[in-house]
Amino acid sequence: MINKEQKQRITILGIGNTLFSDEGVGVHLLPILEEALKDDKNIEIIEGLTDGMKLLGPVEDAEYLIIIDAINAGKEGGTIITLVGEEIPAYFGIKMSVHQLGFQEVLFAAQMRERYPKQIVMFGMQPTSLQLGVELTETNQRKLGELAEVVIDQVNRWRHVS
Amino acid sequence: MSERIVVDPITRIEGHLRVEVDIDEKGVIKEAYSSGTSVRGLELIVKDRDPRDVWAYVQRICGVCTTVHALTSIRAVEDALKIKIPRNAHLIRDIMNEAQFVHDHVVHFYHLHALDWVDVVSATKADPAETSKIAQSISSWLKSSPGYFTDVQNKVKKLIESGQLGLFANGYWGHKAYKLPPEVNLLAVAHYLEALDWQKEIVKIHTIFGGKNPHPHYVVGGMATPLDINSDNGVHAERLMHVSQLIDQAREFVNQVYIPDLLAIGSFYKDWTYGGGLNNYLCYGDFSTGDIYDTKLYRMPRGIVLNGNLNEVLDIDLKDPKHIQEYIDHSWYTYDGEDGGKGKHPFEGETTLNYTGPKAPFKTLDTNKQYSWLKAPRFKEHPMETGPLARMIVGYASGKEEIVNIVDDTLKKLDLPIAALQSALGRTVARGLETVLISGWLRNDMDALLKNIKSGNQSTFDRTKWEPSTWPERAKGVGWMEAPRGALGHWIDIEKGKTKNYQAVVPTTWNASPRDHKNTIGAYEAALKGTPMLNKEEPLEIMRIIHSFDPCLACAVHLTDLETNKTTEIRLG
Repeated sequence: MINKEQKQRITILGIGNTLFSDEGVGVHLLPILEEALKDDKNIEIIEGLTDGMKLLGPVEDAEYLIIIDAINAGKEGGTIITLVGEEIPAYFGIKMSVHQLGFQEVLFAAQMRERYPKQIVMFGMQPTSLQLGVELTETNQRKLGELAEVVIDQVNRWRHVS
Repeated sequence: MSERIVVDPITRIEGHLRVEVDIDEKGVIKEAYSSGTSVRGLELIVKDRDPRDVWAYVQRICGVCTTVHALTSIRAVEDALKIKIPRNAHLIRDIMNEAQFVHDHVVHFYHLHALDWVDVVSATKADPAETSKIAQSISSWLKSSPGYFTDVQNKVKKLIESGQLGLFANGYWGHKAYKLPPEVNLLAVAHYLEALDWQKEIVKIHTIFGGKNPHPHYVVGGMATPLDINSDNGVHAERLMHVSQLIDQAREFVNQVYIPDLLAIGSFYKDWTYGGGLNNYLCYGDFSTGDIYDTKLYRMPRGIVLNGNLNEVLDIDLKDPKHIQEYIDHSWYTYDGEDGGKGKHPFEGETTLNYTGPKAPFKTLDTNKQYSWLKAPRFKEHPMETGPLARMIVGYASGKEEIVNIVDDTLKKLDLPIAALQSALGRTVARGLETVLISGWLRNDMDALLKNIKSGNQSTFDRTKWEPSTWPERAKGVGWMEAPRGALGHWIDIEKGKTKNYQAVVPTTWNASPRDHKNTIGAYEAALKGTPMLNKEEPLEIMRIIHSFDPCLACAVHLTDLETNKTTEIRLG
């Protein structure tokens, strides 16, 4: 069964803390995406900020999920990082019972409950600075357009999935 | 001879809360040091901003307690500018806070704290039929058949066999301090999973009244909620009905799942009496049936109990410079260029960072000197505990009927004296009891709001002092509330329409406080002292005690970390 007109429901979730400069990249990107994708009713953009388990609803409701966050991969500041499927760390292996459930726990909970989205891709940027500040650093700010492009590319690929 | 044990992080988020303890040769904790290892610095970010916008910045302090900082901030601005809000706005704010409490406390119990008492692996050995019998004997909750518990058990078995334990990966399973029979462990694990589902629903109350998920909108002067029962947009009749249903579901879950589980688990740990601590309790009070300035109408009363003396409740004035002071003798700050020696009231507060600690990587902090990013707040030089236990103790000592009754009934059921509350388990029980009360107030406040709306009163915002031209040249105010983790205060100094100075003293700053100018220890440090550890490499006892306070060292930097995805963070020093 091939139906090229079929629309996929796509959820874009920006997470991060905007008080710590480049940590907030996932949130800073959202206005750009909202503008670029405003005509597509099948796309839902959610400002997840630093919410933990409160994001379980949006994640489990998503079919195709894009997550945008700061990612520390030990690369040069501003480097764009893409993680697909298994590469997305579904949990931290910290030997503690948890205090504040982070996003990794949300993904794991969705998995355990067998309500994991059909596909997840995570896009992020290596922070240059995590100092106090409500703006991105210049280095990361300059790369924001490029990050938006890779996200929109992914959206387009999913939009035309048959 | 003592040995130093370091637990870092205590909170899941790397680098926020660290505990170092000295144990003697028998494994008993002799001294404890609690260190906040991350700067909050919010005070620096809101300086010079429009006071009407500050709530939106401070609500990002923390991903868990977003609403509480927003609310405290607007209350501070309203206090400074003497703004009175409409009754409906007060009700909606209380409804949102009450919903936050119920959500937070249930999530804390099942997802953040239960596994300090519940052994997940042991649940695989349970007889599901027996679990079913226990479940039916303690509650009328419908999901209680042997088949249901068998399904849950199979799920857990599958997880363990796959080696992908995820959320359950790093417990100290099999630790001798776990005392529950496998059947009760299975019951708790089943409800751990059910609570995940439940918590997704209750937060919709915030979406409906706050207009935005997940971070609701607040406004100085009231609420931005467009109440209109006849419109298609805004908060109309159908949405109000939805909130009403969510409230009933929440109460059902609290009364039929949370509380029966809490008492069932608690009854196996009555001998574990550790983790009490200071016995000094602080409450700002909240949930007024009138307005916020009328403390006599608080359902959760204001007051101070010192040294566990239930015969006396002292008053606290947040504006009195002698009542609340923050000390920095063991904290990485300076006051007027000096590294300690005096306290400052938050109105005069100063956030000048001055890190003098060791360079990473290091083994232990120099706890004789400065060792925390938290200041040491004190009430008339006394260290204080704040939060659910403080609220139940102060409420009990104040003779608040609802609180006295629920505390007495529960202690009778568990066959324990009131002093038993002053422990880690008592704190956890207190949290459950206040959830029962607050979920009842949630119902009452929603009914009051519906009544107002039906009588034609849909006002939620007072705009008379919205424009800065109506403000005085200089104004100071304090906002306070009882947040799920305890007494929260924000102090603002407004000059020429801008934020001149801002200070927040959050519940975890009281509880996780380091030593002060007199070397007096804080609430965590006191609670840990004297606790015997069965196995120093598996500090379950420390987790249990610290988690019973529901620590929240705000600012949730939750960077996805591919580099330091370590399996162990406990080090022996």
